[in-house]
Amino acid sequence: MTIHQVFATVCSLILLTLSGGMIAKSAEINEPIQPLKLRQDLNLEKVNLGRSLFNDKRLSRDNSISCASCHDINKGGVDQLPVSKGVGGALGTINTPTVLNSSLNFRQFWDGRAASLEEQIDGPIHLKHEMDSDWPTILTKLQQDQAYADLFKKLYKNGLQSENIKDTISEYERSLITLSRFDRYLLGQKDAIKENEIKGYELFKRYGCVACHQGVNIGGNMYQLFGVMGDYFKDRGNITTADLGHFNVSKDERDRHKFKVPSLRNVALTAPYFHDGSAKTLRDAVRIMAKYQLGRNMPEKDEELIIQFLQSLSGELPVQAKGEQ
Amino acid sequence: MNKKEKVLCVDDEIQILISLRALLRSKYEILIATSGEEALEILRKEPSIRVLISDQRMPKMLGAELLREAKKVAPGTMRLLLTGYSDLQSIIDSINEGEVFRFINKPWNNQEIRFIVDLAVNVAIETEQAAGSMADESLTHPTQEESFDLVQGQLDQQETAASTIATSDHQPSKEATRTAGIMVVDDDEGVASTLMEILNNTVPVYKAKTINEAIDLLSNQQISVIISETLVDSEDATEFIKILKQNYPSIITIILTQYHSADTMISLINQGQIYRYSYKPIQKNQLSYYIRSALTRHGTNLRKPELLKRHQVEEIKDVKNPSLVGKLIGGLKSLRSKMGF
Amino acid sequence: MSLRSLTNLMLGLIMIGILVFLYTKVQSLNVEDHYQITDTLRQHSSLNFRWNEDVLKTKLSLSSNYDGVTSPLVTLRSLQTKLTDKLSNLIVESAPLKASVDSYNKSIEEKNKLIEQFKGQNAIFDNSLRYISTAVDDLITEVEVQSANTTKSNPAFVALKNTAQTLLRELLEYNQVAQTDLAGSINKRLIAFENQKILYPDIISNKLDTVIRHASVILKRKPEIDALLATIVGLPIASSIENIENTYTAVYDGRLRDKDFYFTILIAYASGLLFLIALIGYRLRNSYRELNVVNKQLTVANETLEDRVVQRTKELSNAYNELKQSQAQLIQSEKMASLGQMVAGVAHEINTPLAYCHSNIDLVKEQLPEIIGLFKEFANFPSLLDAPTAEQQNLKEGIVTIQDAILTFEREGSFDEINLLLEGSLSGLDQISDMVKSLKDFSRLDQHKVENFDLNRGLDSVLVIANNVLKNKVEVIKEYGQLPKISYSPSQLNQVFLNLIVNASQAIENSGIIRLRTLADHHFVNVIVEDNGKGIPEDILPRIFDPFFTTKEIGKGTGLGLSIAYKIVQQHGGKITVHSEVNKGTQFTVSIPISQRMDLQNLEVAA
Repeated sequence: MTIHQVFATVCSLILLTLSGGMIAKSAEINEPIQPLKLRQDLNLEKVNLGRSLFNDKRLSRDNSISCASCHDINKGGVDQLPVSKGVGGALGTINTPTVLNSSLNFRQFWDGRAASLEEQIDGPIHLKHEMDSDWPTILTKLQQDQAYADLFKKLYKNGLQSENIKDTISEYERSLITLSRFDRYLLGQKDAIKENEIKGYELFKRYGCVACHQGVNIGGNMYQLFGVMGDYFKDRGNITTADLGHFNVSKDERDRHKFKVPSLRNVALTAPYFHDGSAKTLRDAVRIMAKYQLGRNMPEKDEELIIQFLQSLSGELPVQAKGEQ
Repeated sequence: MNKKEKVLCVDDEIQILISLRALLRSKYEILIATSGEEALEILRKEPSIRVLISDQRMPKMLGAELLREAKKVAPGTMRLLLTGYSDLQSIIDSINEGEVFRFINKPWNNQEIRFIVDLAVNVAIETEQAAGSMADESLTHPTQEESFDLVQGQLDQQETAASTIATSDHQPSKEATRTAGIMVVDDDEGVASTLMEILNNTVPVYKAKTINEAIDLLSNQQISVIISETLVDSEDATEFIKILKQNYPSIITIILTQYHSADTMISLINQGQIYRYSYKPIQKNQLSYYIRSALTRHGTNLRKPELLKRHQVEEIKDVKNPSLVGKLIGGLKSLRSKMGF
Repeated sequence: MSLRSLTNLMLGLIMIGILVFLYTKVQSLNVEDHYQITDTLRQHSSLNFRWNEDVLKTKLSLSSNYDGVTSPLVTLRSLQTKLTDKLSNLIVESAPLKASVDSYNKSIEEKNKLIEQFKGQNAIFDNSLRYISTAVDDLITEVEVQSANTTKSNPAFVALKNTAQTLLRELLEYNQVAQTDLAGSINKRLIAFENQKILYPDIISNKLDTVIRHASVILKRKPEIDALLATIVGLPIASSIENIENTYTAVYDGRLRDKDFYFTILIAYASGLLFLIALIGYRLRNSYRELNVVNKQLTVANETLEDRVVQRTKELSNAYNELKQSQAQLIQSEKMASLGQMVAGVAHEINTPLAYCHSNIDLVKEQLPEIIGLFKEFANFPSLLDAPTAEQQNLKEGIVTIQDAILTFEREGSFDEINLLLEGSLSGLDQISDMVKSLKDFSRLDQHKVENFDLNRGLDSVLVIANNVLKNKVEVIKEYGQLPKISYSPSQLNQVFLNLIVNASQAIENSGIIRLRTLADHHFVNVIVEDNGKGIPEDILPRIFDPFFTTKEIGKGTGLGLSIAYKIVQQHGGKITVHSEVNKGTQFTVSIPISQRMDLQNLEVAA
């Protein structure tokens, strides 16, 4: 059987089933960007506990850095720095991605090395230039806090343990969903966004930005080469390990310079952009994307509209996530 | 008045001596001693002490002992023993070693003592000479090692003596001059068998299991020595012994009994003048010795019949079995006629 | 625990162990798990199928985003975990199963990777495909504009326009069916374009460049994507899953067979055990029956035992009574013997004075008539004096007779003798009465009980009784001390002292001394009987107080004297001790407490 033949048979089979599937799914919105759904199944006690820990500086070696130091939910879930400062003022190696809506990403980190939110926590905890700590140290510190001990004892059978800390922080992170005006628009509220923003969305689709920045998280569900239509890194120069992207994980040549496509939600709040934090403004980011990813010259007019659209993607935290702050 | 005969009284209690002397001095010359030693001294010094009266219980030397020694020192002296205390062994010793003539119980009857002393004195006088041969006898007692041949010799002498004694007009039957035998009166065979072992057929042994048998045997056989139990076939044999002695005093009686009674012993002396008395069972050697002595004595008596007077007896008191007595006397009469007495 | 019960316990444990083992083996197959596994496998199958669907949908632009293609992986991951968990213990057993699971997992990874590739590729391809028309349009438009600007018509431009249009057509065609010769043609044109780029003015060449670029993407990516898809779809996921199913089923069937096998064994084993239990039960029943029989026998025996016990007890108590009687008799006979001894001695003591008293008085009586006769003669004298002288001859004769008689009496000492005899009699009678009094003192028959008495007096009475044993042989030295009156049973203690004194005298062979000492201290009154006789050897000394122990010949002593003495002293709360040295002498010490409570009830040896 040749590839073509296989392909043909399979396609026909698929069509048959899909026709039925299509009818079933006709009710769904057939947009490349899907609206957010707030989760109803979160354990609020864990969320609250997770919040405390997220903001607890004892997770760092010298008790100077907490998760919130770099992932400030009042600053779009980032610190709005090109790279973050860790313990002792150590500079990070890569731009901090937002914690907001991070639970919708198919993997964590730019190179996708963490498969889950829980796994991601191990990263900053142990990295020397980030929190420079380890679980035994953290546990020792936290065990002296009777409040934590009691809370953990209440929520988890084995009380204060590292996997439970991770679990509770993750639960908190899962609550950080930002419903935007655009989501409301997608959900049917046609006046939720302005006309320009709608136009911007159309352009976003027509130019093909949506090819990668799609799905419920407007990105975050695939890897893509940074520099499809041109060699971004050659042009930029100073290639670091961080620039190798997913290659660092898979060691596959095909994955060199491939990064997890970041979510564009709250993108207006999370400057500077790209993994290297090189684009200071949205305009810069849009331009570089158009050039290197789309191979297109985008007129300013279009840029403007797209930027407006992008700004409509910023959202609000739900009450449950905000807690008693 | 002739010189009084001498009587020696021996007692550690002075009062007794005083009483005896007071009692007897009118008739006799009373010599006194308060101990056996003293008495023997006197016996040695004084000749012809006719009678010796001694108390049994004296310190240092008992009466029986004194009699034994007195017999050696002055065999002619008749020996009387005062008994107030039934010490069986003393009585037996007095019989066997002391050859006591009479036992006198304390308290005594004055008349009785006078009578016995008179009798004893007379006998002593009458047998003064013959008593000397008794000394021979005591010196020639064969030792245990010597055989009975010596005795046999003496028995032969007896035969001859018997034949000379016999009255001339009465020929003793051949059987009568046959060797005299020993009769055992006992329903227990043991004594007889022991005896036969000892004698080994040198002397005939006749066995009587009852008194009647004994009497019969006496009628038919010549008996020199009788060995008897006091109770034979449930009958009291002592009467038989006593009657025998009265009527035929030459028979030597040895009592071998398991029944011991001081009174019996005393009466057997006073009324039976038994020769020897012993408990059963008797040692073979002891019996052998007694037999030898008895046979010798029998021989001596045959040669010197007056010595028999020294063994005369009192009247039997308390005759229990008159018929027996009668029978015995009858039987003995016939025996007498056979023997020619 | 004995070896036997230990082995039994081990055996029982082993049997139970086997039972448990078999049971677990039978139970090991969890049907629930089986359903879950089969269910999971089905889920895997359907998920993978849907995933493929999603991928194709994306390809066919039927799906507008990659969420559908991305999210299955998350679910699949959890399904994979579930499957691995459920199969974990089976994987250990079956290598094929493990291999199939591993290959499936690998395929999934492979699929994931490919899908990632696909996503990236597809996005780019899609964009280029979407834009190419526009890009070509832009180019053509630009060319037309440029053409309009110049007067002469440039054939290059026209050619360019045409080629571009042809290119677009070809590209779109190529998109539909990726034929190789088509690809070659497109490629040729692109190369041509590339070369012609210089010929054109920048505006055009820029746009041409864009076209070239995007066309290249399409050209290049199309087969790649197709290949990817084909590979993705062609991944042996389904067959992997089927493999897992098969191998699992094999294992499961094996397990089932095992289970059946073990089940059979279990049944057999259980029946065996049941049989064993039944056997044991049967044997137990038998032994219970036996037990019952034996029990009954025992009950009977018990009852008879009771009777026998009662009987035996009766026999025993009879025997005991007899024994006590014999003992009493023996004690009595000892008493009798000692009494007999004493009585014999006393009898003798009385006998002798009695003898001479009687004799003396009899003698005096004999002589009395003579003396009375003399007196009577005298009585005649007055009448004779009054008679005529011729008859006075009678008087003279009478006087002479009397004179003679008196002279005779005097010569013979008769008067003195009479006195002597009568005096002797009186003294003899005194002796007898002394003896009787001593007997009374000794036995205290008139007083059966305890009284306060001076022990010294008691000793004296004993000495009188024992006199006939002691006289002329033993010298008695009395060293009496001041004694307080003590309460004791005189008859009993006198018996003790008599016994000791007689023993002492018997120990002395020829002559010796008995020393009687009495003294009192604070608590005791002590009586010491000491002799210098032959003594008691050391080996005999401990036994002298034993009942029936005697060193005398048979018939000469009961051997009870000292044991009774011991008992009497004990009853008085006192003690009796002895020291002795052979050939030197013996010393008995009797100590009676001054204040003592006597055991009145148990005065067995009372006089």
